[in-house]
Amino acid sequence: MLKMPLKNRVLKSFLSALALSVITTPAFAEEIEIEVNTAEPNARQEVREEIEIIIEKEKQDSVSYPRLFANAELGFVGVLGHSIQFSKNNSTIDYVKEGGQDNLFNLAKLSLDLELDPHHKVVFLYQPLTFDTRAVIERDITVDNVSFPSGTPMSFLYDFPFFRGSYLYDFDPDPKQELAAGISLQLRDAVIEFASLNGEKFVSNRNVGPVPILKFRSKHYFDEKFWWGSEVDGFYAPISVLNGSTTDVIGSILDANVRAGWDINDQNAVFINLRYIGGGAVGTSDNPKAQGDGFNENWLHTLGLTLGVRTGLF
Amino acid sequence: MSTLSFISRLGGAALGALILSFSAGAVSAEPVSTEQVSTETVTYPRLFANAELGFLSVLNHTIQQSRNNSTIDYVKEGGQDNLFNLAKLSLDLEFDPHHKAVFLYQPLTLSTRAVIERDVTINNIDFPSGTPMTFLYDFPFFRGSYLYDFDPDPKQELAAGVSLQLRDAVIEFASLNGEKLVSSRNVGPVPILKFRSKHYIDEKFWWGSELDGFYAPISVLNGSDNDVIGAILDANVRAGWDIDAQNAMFINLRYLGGGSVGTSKDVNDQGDGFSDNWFHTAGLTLGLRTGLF
Repeated sequence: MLKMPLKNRVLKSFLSALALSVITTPAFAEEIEIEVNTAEPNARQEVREEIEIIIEKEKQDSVSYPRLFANAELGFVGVLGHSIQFSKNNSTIDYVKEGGQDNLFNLAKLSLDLELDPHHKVVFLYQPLTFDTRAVIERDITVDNVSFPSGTPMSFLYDFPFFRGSYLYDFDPDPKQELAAGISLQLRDAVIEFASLNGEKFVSNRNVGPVPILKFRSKHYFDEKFWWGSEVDGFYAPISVLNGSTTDVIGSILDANVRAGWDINDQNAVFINLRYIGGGAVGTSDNPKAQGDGFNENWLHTLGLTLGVRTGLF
Repeated sequence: MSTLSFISRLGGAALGALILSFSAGAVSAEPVSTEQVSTETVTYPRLFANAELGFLSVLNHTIQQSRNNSTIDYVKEGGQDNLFNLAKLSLDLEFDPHHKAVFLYQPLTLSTRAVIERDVTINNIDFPSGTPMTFLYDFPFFRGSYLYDFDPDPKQELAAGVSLQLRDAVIEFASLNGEKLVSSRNVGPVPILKFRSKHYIDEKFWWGSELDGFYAPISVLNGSDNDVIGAILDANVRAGWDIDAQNAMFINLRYLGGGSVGTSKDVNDQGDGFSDNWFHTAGLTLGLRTGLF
């Protein structure tokens, strides 16, 4: 029976009416109702599966690969918790309570999604992340063996932009939906500075290095236009080599978001994105500078909300 | 359709093709090559816009301002041991398959802060060890180029030409408390030799290179009326993919370096005019290329 053309089978089976499915496709933009009549339950299932395969193939064939999408997000981020210590036996600074990070900060994100076919995808991300604050310190603190007495007006720079390249394998063959897993390689580029506002005292730490990350991403449609999705990049690296350091440093990162979106048309979409970015490191660097002993403990937890635009470039 | 009618149509088509080929032969005695055919399908002039975004790492960077003053290592002492944003904007205007003009704007700003860990002197201004300092190395440039493309294929390229670059440098050293500042500024033209190539691996994928370089021991040539030796090398290799007939994207690995040594006749109050500055950087960018017309 399955070797017969689908059209013939549908026309032939009209003994008892049984509506199996109502399937919509973006290619036709209209509902197709198919009635399959047969006495055999197994045959009904086989017919239904074959219809679904054909419809799926139609949807895939209507999409031409490769595809490139550009995404831009803009919103704000709040720092939930952020502490840092430079050099052993020095002060642990609470950026939120003491360092002026109790405000909201601009949060932007730029990324490109290159889809080679329904399964193989490459993502490029640039994430600027700068917390530049000023506050009067209300206790005596020591950062990398530099003392800042209570009452010192200070500037705090926490600049942690990163570049990230990812490969994803999408297990969902549907060109619109996604259930993908893969790996990322992130390049951190950190500048962390403490300065007295009069410029007399200054502590600067800079760090560049690669960070391997595991990645997961999903996208599911509620209906033809509305969807929700999630994206998680995370890693915990107790081994020095894995987190891109030659020193005994334990590092972790988690960049996770859930988003809901609306496809304006075939090319453009808008979405809202709730995002957690956190992580940190603890350990001692082999390259201590004159200012400290190389020890560093830094943990960050933020929550951001952004509005995004996604457009298909081709 | 009868057999006779079909034969007569076939004969008519053959006769027409024969007449056409004779007509073509009357204009050009040589057979038409595939390159000529592909050239004729392209309309000139064409304008392409290119935008790149990525990051830059400073491999090495030293500077000395005024004789017998300190040579500063920007990477080890001046906070340039980080990555910096690297963007590049350019326009390619193609008049025909051979004659091309390129306009480039290259922002390049390295702004850093660090505590100097030894006594240094810059343009006769002393910065004692332990001084918190700011370092600004701002060297954007504008570049216009002419290229002659020896490859008549409108897609591929093997071109050489000249560029004229306008440097616009601001180099500053300051104590963070604002009590000490050394500022040097310089604007001038730089003539450069240019080479560019693009070769297709298949219908869609290509690789290319672009090289702008010059070594100018003669003062006049490097845009200065002083005894300054200058050099620049801006070289990249790129791999790209033609998305469609209008758009392409590419990844670009770039070396940007150069410098100068010599004494300027425009001595300011702070120093004797001598400067010795060399830098070497490597950058990685993603680029988009789109045909505007």
